[in-house]
Amino acid sequence: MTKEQFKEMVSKGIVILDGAAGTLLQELGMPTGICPEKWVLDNPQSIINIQKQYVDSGSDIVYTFTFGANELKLKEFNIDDVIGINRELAKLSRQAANGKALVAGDMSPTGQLMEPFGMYTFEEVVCSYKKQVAGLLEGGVDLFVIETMMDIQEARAALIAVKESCDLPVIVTMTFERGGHTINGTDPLTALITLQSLGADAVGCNCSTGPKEMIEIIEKIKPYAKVPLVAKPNAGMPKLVDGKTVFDMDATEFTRYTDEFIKAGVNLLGGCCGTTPEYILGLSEAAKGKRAYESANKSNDLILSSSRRIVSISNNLPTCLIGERINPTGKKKLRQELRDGSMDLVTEYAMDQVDEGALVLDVNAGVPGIDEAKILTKMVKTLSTFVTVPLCLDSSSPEALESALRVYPGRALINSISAEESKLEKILPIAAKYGAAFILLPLDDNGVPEKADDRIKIIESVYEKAKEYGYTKSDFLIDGLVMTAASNQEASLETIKVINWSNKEFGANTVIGLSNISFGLPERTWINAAFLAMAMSQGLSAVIMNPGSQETMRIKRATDVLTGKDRGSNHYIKTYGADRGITRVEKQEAPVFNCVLEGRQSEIVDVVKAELTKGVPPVELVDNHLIPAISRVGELYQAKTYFLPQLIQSAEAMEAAMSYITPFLEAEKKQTNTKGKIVLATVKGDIHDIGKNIVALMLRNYGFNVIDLGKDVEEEVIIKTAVNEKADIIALSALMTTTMEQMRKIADRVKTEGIEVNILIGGAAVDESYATQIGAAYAKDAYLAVKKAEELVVKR
Amino acid sequence: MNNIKYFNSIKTQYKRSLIYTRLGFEKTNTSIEPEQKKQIEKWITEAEFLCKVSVIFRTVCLSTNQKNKVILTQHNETMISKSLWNLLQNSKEAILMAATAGVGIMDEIKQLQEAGNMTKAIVYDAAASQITDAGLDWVMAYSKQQLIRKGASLTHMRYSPGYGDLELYNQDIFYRLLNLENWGVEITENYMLIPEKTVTAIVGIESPKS
Repeated sequence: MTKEQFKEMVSKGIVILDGAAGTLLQELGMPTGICPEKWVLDNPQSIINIQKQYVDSGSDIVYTFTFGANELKLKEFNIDDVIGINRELAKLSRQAANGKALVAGDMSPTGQLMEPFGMYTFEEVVCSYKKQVAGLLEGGVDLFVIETMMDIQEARAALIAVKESCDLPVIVTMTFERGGHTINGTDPLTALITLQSLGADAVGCNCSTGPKEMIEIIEKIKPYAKVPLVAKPNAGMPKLVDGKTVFDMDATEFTRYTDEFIKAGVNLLGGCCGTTPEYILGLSEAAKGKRAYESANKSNDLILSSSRRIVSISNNLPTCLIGERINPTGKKKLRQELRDGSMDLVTEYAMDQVDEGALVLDVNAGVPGIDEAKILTKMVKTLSTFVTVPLCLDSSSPEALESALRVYPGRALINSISAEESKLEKILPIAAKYGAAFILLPLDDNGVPEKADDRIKIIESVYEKAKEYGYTKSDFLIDGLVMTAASNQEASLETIKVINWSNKEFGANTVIGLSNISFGLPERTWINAAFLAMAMSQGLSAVIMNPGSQETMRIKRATDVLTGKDRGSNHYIKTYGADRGITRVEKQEAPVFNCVLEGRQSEIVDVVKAELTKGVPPVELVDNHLIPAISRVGELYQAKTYFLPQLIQSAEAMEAAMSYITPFLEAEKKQTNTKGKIVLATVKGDIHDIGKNIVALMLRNYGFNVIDLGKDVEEEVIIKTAVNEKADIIALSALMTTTMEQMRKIADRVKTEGIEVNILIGGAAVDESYATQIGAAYAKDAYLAVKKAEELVVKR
Repeated sequence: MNNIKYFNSIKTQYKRSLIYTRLGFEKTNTSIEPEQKKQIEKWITEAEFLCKVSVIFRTVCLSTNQKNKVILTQHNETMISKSLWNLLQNSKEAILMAATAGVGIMDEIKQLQEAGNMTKAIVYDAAASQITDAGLDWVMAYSKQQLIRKGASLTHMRYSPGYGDLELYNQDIFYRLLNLENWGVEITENYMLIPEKTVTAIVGIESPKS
């Protein structure tokens, strides 16, 4: 079957797929714990009968019983003949279909993860799938289906394996958990964008959920679908009733969802686990003569994806910010790191830029003398695992681009493709193979045309060429080509003309690399910001810039509001709104008090200095500002107005202030009163100490002299220190049930030896009743530990 | 060697709000300034980066024929717990699993504490706990997907050593059967796992009768 024939079949009406086979085979006696594919080969009539029933029930396509027949799965059963098993199983399906239905070669997860998560490389997985594809082709399948995929990267590997082996149509369906993501965090829209751009002929979902959840998925992704959509839901969820698996939705109820599926826009419909020929018969009757709804709101945005999210770029949306900083040009340190193969700065720049508002990250590995393909691929692999924004691959090397695109688990943007012959001939096919979007740079072998009209001619010619590879106007961004204003002031207006034309006449999205405009001029930020506002007013869709430039970012966000791109000024308000519904806590006029109240550790020492310079006595700062402030913080924490990070932040601010003030107090021989001495430790055998450290910080803040013995401390050391230091309290922490008994031992010794000291305990393993049992006081958290310590000291 | 599966640096799914809850945030009561919130969000993102979550899991056969005893039949190991026994009544198999966030995040938390940056340390710590737990969620979701086609499912919850009446010393069984030593995890004589952000659990497989 050709891809065109597949398209034609889908355009004629709803294509009915088959239902479950595995659960039916179990009913026919297939045991668990064996290789199902091998069992079916040994019992061929079982699958032939089931598939015949599906064909008779109206299935237009049946799936070969090769779900687990990939090399890595078969290896678990010590089966080596991957090609043979797939060939023979495909033949059985052809026999069952008997020319009345098409046979799709079924491929599924390997059950392994590829690097960096598992032991297999991307290429190893592609190769292993290729063996399965070869067998299925030998068996004479009409098309392929890659189903129940949990990992988008594995789905890509399987799709590439088919594409590199034949021209048959390929359906790809992912399996989404009830929360709407695959277990690796890919949502349905992200999967659609990635897979349809990579060349899947139909995309959708199967297994995991019932029809209701899948209708929602289809509805959501339909406006963005350029390929037919597929749904193969389970018959609800499995339950064990009297030792038998029962799915909670019968055929009548299942069939009732057919119209809703069609209305949502599904083109191919079948059933997964728990469905039988009865379910498929219901579907085929309900769908007869109907066609999938086409979405009235088809998106024309350029959409990029990573493995976990998409980013839409359009002149109707806030201008998309592409962070430019991962580029070694002019960055000596980054250049050296890339030479050394280190990714530390790359990740640091990535995280910072995302934090500053970048939605896409430009990645450039252009260091003279390095293996660009290797380094760019490494950068892409590294960034793909921890930033969720899509990447823009900035290279003119076809080898580097192909190597990076192959492993990039989403739809990347290529920066850039021009009309230079070498680029058009080499990069465009690579971009098309991996479905990447690209930045169209309007220059050719003669250089950069000065005038907008000449750039427009180049744009049109590149577009004509790109169309041959299936590209549409929503698959690329036109670069306005920013030239330096310092050398030619007319040039900026030519760029604006290109943006205006692209936006209003040509109908494609645009981008500029901003910083070039101000090259050679002083105070570049202002030139950058002004030019960005000009370009945005002409409908600019994206900008490559440094998101760390606050002034430019402010102008960008403001211009998004003024051009109507930021609808309802939502982004602007979210970024700069003074009150985002969060109640501010009360402040006083005293700045030292406020610093503690708001936990401003970095500022408090300067504020204290300023107060001391004004002549405020140090003791007054402590007694009238710092202590009341930390007490108020404690009250806010008790009332849950503050949570733990705020309490600790305030405590740290207090500690910083006290460290600065203490020498002044000592010079004046005016010490604030110590409330009491506490020996603090996490008991022997227990290695957890963060809770204990929080308690130490809080106790110090409230004026206790704390002797912190650390974690995993011997009973003897604790007792000795308490005696020698004449401590008022022994405070003990334990997190585990296996170590809490150490507390009892210490409490017993204190009692037996008549040591005059209170015991205070805390930690996840203990509670009030245990404390009472061993004769100790108990505090649930750090603040209550302070309060309890105060009580215990007063009692003494 | 055995059927132990090991995946590293997996992408766990979790709700950030759960980290806030761990830190005492209450939606209706707690107020937080935008700058503080932004800072905490940034720290959580950093913690995500530092947590290299590895998961290790295997399927084991079990018997619940003796009251309150879960016997891992191939390994001759017994866990005594009424609640676990109740949970696994319909299971002939179970999945033993572990998730660890690795040493990087713990080293960073330690350094932060030593440098006196407790606020960041507690946010990292809470995030690491949540992310590690999500590793076990990942194993369950993965396993569920493998099982559904066999008409099998998992018990409605998992159980961990130290939870309810499943005493912490059972940690040792998980440690040995999952070969955690091979994956850089240590166990102390009090059955604590190092790196500290390492968790283990057992979940039952409910399969149809043949």
